[in-house]
Amino acid sequence: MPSSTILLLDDGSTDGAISADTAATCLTIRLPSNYGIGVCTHVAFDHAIAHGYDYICRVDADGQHPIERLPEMLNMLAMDGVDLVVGARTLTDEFSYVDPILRRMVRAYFSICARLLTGNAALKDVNTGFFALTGEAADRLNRYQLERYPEPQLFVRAARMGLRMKLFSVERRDRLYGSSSLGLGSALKMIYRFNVLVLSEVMQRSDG
Amino acid sequence: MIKLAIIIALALALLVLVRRRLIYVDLTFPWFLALVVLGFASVFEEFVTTVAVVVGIYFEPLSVVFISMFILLAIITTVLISLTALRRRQIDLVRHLAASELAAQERDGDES
Repeated sequence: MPSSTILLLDDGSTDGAISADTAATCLTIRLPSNYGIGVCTHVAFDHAIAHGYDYICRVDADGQHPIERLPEMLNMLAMDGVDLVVGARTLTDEFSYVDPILRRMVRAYFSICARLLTGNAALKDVNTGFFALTGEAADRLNRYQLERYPEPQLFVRAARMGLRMKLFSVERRDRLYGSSSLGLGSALKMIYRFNVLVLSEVMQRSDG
Repeated sequence: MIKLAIIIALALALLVLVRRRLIYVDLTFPWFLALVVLGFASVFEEFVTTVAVVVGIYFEPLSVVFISMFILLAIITTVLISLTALRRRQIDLVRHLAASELAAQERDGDES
């Protein structure tokens, strides 16, 4: 890995604090209460933009994402002239409490809507939290208010901005720590939010 | 006369709440408008009748409920807009504080 900084964001967790050892080796922020992934992403982007970082990688802290593949993703950003590399999983745990068929249907619905919205520019997986992007792309995406679960919003926005995106297949791993914050209620809210996003994007398009 | 007295008493109660800083003055505007409309409706009964005829309500006093529902909707919308603005400001503040803290950590790291 090239010279890098790790930023650990604790979004108001109640199941333990960042240890002193961890805090000594990376930048850490503990938000006073749970603000959602959107605010955390903004905090990271703000810092990266202010300090002129070339690339930003976003990884969940529950061990699901194969971080050893980050150099490959960074290499794609540097060598292939891509703005955003999305680590698409072959299987996801996000809807693990419901029937897998329903999970696949929801993912397919998200994907189809995103593709229709962006004229096929959106990638297959618009729900993954594992991605890497350039500082410039982060700067452009940071101008929009990101929602609690911002991934579909981020990728749809990126596609509509004309950012060059590439899919990077990664294997799905079991969660090592904690449990998903996405219960049935918040999953329904997520689908609702996505539909609102789709409608607002459609309205924006018709406004010109 | 009693109707007018009740409206004035409600307006005064609102004024007291604002003066004691229990309610932010900007947020009381929909309440003020509600008092004006309901006061007008209570003093001029023809207004209620006219609304009932225009909207097609058979039992005329029900138009007061109809007007109240619209006022309530306006108040809820105003409160939601205010809450959203407040939430946005809070998020801006959190981002600003986080940026300051991270900048301080970066400085400390550079010094050590």
